[in-house]
Amino acid sequence: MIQFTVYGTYDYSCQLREEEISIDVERSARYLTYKRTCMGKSAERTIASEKGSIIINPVEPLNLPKEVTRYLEVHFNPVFIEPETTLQLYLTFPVEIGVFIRAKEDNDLLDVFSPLSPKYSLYGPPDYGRVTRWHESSIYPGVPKTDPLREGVLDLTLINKGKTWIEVSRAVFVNAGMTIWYGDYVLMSARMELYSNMVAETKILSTPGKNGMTRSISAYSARKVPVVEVVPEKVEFLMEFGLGDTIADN
Amino acid sequence: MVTRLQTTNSTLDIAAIVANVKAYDIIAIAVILIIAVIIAKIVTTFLKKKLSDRMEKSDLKVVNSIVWWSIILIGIFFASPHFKIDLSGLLVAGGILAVIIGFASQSVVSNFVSGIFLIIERPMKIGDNINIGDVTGNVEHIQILSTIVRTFEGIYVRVPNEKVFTSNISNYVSNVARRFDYRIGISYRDDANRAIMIIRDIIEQEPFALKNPEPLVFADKLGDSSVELLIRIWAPSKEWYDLKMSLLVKIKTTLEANGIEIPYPQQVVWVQQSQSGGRGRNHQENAR
Repeated sequence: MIQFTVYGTYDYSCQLREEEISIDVERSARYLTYKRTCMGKSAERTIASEKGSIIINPVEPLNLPKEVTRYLEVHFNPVFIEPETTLQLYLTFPVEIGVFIRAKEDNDLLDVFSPLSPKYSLYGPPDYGRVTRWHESSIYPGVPKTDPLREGVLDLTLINKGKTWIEVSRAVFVNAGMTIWYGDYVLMSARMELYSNMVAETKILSTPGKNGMTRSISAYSARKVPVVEVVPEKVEFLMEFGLGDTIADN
Repeated sequence: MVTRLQTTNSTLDIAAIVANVKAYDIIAIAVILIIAVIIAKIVTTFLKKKLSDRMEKSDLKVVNSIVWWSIILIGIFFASPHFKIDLSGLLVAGGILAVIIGFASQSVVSNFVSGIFLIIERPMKIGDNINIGDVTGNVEHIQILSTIVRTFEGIYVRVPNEKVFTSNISNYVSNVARRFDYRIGISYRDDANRAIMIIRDIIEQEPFALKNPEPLVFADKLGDSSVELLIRIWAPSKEWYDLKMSLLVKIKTTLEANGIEIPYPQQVVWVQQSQSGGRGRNHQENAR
């Protein structure tokens, strides 16, 4: 596994360097200045706070270059699943790096960035489909090696609830505060119930990661959009426009 | 004197009416009016629930008042036989009044009804980028009688709802994704396949140039001066314009950086020389 040192909790004097990423928090007489560079792009924020902490963790890959959707689509080589069978496999998913500021037991999102270049797609027809953050993944029988700055491991359980063979090559998840864990690698668990070649239901699970893993603060939750706390497992997405590749209608 | 007589007559009429009304009629009137009030309450509450997120509060209040009083008036109409009043005269007067009001408020009613149907049908919502007839801009307000559009030049335009309802409405952001096209000509001397690959790479690097539906780049026409490449790209509706504005320059500069020429219009002119001026043919390639 890649030893990764950027994710974690720091005080206001943090200075981090990791390959193409650098993060500095400098204190002046009246305020703090947060500076970040990633792949030649930089950001700067001014912080008015005496005592608190900076938390850096992987977040949902739905914020860059700006938030246009709540849906993540992972595309992979077709998998054929026997009727009434369950299959657990590992995929990868893109991550973005979230920087949070914490003081007086309140978190706020300070910055989001990623060395990855995002790509978006459309699931379903242009009139009532969903714009999705698109990611291509290979299929792995076990936990694959990943660069936690760029990708996490998606532990996906596929359940064929139909009476026929089903071919699946994409999974679309809705973000309602995705539960992401980080430690040696970044992990997210999900479940996909297949009903036919056209219909499936997906949900992100809040299953705890391996021992020693820490739960990420979600960018979605930190924005404090929902008034009531959302339980990810109760937010399902019905994939009704097919589970395989569709022919583009140009 | 005349006034006093009329007043005396009215008092007598009312007294006669009251004398004719029996206890049963009073109960019936009360029941009908109570039912009308209850129905009005239910209907207006339902409208509040259903329309509060679709209409402005002031408009919703007007609609609710109209609905409320319409139901109450219908209740009074049903209760009127129990008043023992001869309504024939009232009906004639009311009919004439209705015709006059109808003519006077024809366009108001038409706009009002159109506004109701627009609220139900919802072909657009506040903030949408639309075109109604010759007006193009962003929807600012959808009111009960009119729709307010802010044009791209920042001009306030009030469009009566009747016109909105009867016009073709183009809503540019109603669908989640939309397509835009470029047509780029490259020189006949350059490799069209290489140009297509370069353009594909540029599109691939753009986050909001959607992966699916797949972007298309192909040679569409062998033109007079160039090989015309047609580029078709899908983008999220809210991002398409920014993408369209930025991507064309990237394509142009990248093609030029790779030595692919985007030629000016060209014309090959063949000049037939006269015998006195010498034999043979020359040709000139004029580029403008």
